[in-house]
Amino acid sequence: MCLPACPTFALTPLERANPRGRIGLMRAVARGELAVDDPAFAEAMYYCVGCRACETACPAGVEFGHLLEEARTVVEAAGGPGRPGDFPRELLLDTLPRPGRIRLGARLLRLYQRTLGRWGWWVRRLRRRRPDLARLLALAPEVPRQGRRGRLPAELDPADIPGAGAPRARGVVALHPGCVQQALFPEVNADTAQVLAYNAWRVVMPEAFRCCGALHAHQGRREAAREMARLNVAAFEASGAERLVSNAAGCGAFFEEYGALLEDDPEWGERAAAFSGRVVDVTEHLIGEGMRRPLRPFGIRVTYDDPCHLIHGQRVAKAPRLVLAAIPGLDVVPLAESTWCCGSAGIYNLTHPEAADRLARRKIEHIVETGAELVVSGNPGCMVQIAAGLRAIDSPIRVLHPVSVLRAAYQLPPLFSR
Amino acid sequence: MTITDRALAGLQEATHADRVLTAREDLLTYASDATPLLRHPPAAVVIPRDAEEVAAILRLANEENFAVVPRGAGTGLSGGAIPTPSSIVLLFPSWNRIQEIDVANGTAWVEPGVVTADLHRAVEAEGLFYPPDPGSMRVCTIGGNVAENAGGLRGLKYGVTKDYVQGLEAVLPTGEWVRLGGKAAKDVAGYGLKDLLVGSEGTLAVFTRVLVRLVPRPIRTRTLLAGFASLVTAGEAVAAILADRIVPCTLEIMDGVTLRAVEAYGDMGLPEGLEALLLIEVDGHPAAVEEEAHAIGSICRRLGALRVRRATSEEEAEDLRSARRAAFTALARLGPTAILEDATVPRAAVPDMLVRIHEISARHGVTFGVFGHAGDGNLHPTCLTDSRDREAIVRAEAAFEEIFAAAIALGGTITGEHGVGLAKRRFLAQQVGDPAVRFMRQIKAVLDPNHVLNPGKVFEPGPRCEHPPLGHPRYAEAMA
Repeated sequence: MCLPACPTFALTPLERANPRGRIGLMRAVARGELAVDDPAFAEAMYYCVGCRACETACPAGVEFGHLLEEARTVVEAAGGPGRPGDFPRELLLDTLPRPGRIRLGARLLRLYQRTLGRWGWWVRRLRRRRPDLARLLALAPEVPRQGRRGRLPAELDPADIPGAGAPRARGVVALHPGCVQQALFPEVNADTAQVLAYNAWRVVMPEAFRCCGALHAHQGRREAAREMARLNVAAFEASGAERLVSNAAGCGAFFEEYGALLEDDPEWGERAAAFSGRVVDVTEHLIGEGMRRPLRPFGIRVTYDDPCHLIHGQRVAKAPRLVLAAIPGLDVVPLAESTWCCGSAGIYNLTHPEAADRLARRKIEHIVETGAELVVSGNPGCMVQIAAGLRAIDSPIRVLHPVSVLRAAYQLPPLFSR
Repeated sequence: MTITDRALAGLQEATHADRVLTAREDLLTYASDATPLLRHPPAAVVIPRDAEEVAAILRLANEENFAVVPRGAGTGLSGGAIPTPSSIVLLFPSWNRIQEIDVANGTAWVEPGVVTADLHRAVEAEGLFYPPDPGSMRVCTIGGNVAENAGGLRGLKYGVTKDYVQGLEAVLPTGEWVRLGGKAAKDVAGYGLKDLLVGSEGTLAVFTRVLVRLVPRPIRTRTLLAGFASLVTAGEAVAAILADRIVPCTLEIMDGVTLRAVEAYGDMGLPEGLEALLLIEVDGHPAAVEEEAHAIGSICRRLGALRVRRATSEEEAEDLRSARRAAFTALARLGPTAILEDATVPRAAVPDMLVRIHEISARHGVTFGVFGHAGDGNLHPTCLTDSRDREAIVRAEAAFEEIFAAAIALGGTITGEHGVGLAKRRFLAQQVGDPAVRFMRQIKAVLDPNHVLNPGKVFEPGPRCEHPPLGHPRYAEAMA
């Protein structure tokens, strides 16, 4: 049943804030009882976090994610009020498809964090004058040194991994570096590549990959999303890899939808469908193909948070837990409401800060309740949001991607330091 | 239709401007409940804070001539919560506290917006049990359950909501507050007014607090799923189980259309060749439960069940139960619109009724899936159709008319638990007769002379009053 599963309904107990009501509004627009450029319609469509928990709960199989995207697409086309503001939405939508700009932005952010960002009076002043900008800056984790191409090698072979026993590669997989992930958490990509190579996979990381387009589609810019889909499909085809491994739940889920996204495209339809069939989350891949058991015991307590696009989007819940279960000595405790959105939801934490904050606090409370030292989640957006929430309460709890925990358990030296 | 500005101002004063919603997106989203095809936006949605505000709103409704439609979670299947012309919706989900669980007396005071499944969880943690379990229990609220006298899968052994309402606090349509019943387990002082209000479908009172009766939580439950090659044999098994003096907690049936939809949706691993499925649960003392479960298994096999599966763990039991609980939604995936009804017959007439439903649906060229509470004769014939296809809807409605007539002819009823609401108004007189409908109208006229509370639900206005809009003072004249 969708209503008890909906985070925004828990925040705002009115019909327009739950899936049933949103579908009711879509029907009203379809019947002509509500104008498509009515600000109320836009607001209701954008108040939704897009977590798709309702899809998981719906016994009738209603594809709410699809419906929401379509609704937002017509809302964007109508261009009326009630949509999220231009800043920072347009800036992000423009920047994310351009790796060069992302790196530049990351460098500026890093510079800011080491200068003005350290001065309390400046931060307070910014919060008063430009609260939206202040929020964006406060959300950002500590940005590491950028380096050329985000400091990832073009490829990694099993033979490159010390202690792997130089096995023959089982096959070739392509790793998509994501967009913000590469700038903010390059170690996650490095760890992913290492872990895969350690498990006898040759990993290629073609430069031609671009932002997956999920944010664009979710903000109603389907054409822009299609452009990015074509780029990524072509880059994958050129890589010669058998599979595309994703370590970002949001991207992985959207890659799996490329087939549907381009189904009406005569040239790309089939290619996109083939591509979508070859996408797999890194934990799914490791568990499905068999992975080496880590030998190093970890005596810490951890808890796992399900990224919405992994559990509701890709329907992957067991694999990441099995990865953690394979690590000896790890005390994995369940997280209450682990399937409940943390409030990151793409750029929701920037467009709807109050609602996102309430969801974050709910999530952080549950994390603290577990007594864990570490919370594990396989999506950069979630990692950013949860880390920001933990910072806000001065918590020492750390946030890591499952592959980073695994890499440490394999006792592989990190490819580079932050 | 709207209400006057003065009425709106009055509502804002009686409650608070923040709790009187008039935005288009709110009016549109509160225009319907779970009944397909029916919808009407209210003039406003009001969220009262307490019984005083409810009373003030009802008094205002009488003064300013608008109607009031109480609403819980809006999961009703007969249109009880659908706004009427010139009405406001009175929203109760925010009243969701379980105020007190009195273990010694086996009662609990709950607010009407408490979600039924939440009540289950809370009392079960205390070793107690609130049996009524409507299909929508994870969403529906106690207030709505009381208004509709909701049933559920456990009705066969445990009864329905009415059997578990020991006390009520309510506001009458003219604004008086009453408390009926209490913690005394037996009480016959005065007329049974509480029993009049339970099941009154929001037309005689607005509930502000409910005292529910709780029983001890059963120690052991055993769940079985039995598959049959024909609906008739399954019906025979039902009769045989009851004849063996076993009273299962749950005795549910699903026909071939339904079970195939459930299999397609949930991949239950059901074997081929099944035309009927029985879900049977027994609960109570462990020794009795084991014996009864064993006996049920034997009976089913003796009558030719193709497969009898017994759950060996609580998880497995949940899986089996979900096969039945998913019946409606699994069917709903087969077509754009699923119309669910609850024609009920005396339980000995269940096999006969199943045959008639099958025959009626074939004759009208409509697809039906049938599932329901075989043990108490409460079947749910569900029509799979398309609300955009006018012709198909006409055929569906014709089929339902015949189904209701068949139920009545077999000594049954047009509604076992969903209520009459709007959807079945036109069949009420056919079943209960004109004198009974007149009696109901008289009671309504006494309690609600201006017809402000959910007017037009359960029964239509009398024949003389075709023109005055519902809620209009002339309505009362015409009804006298």
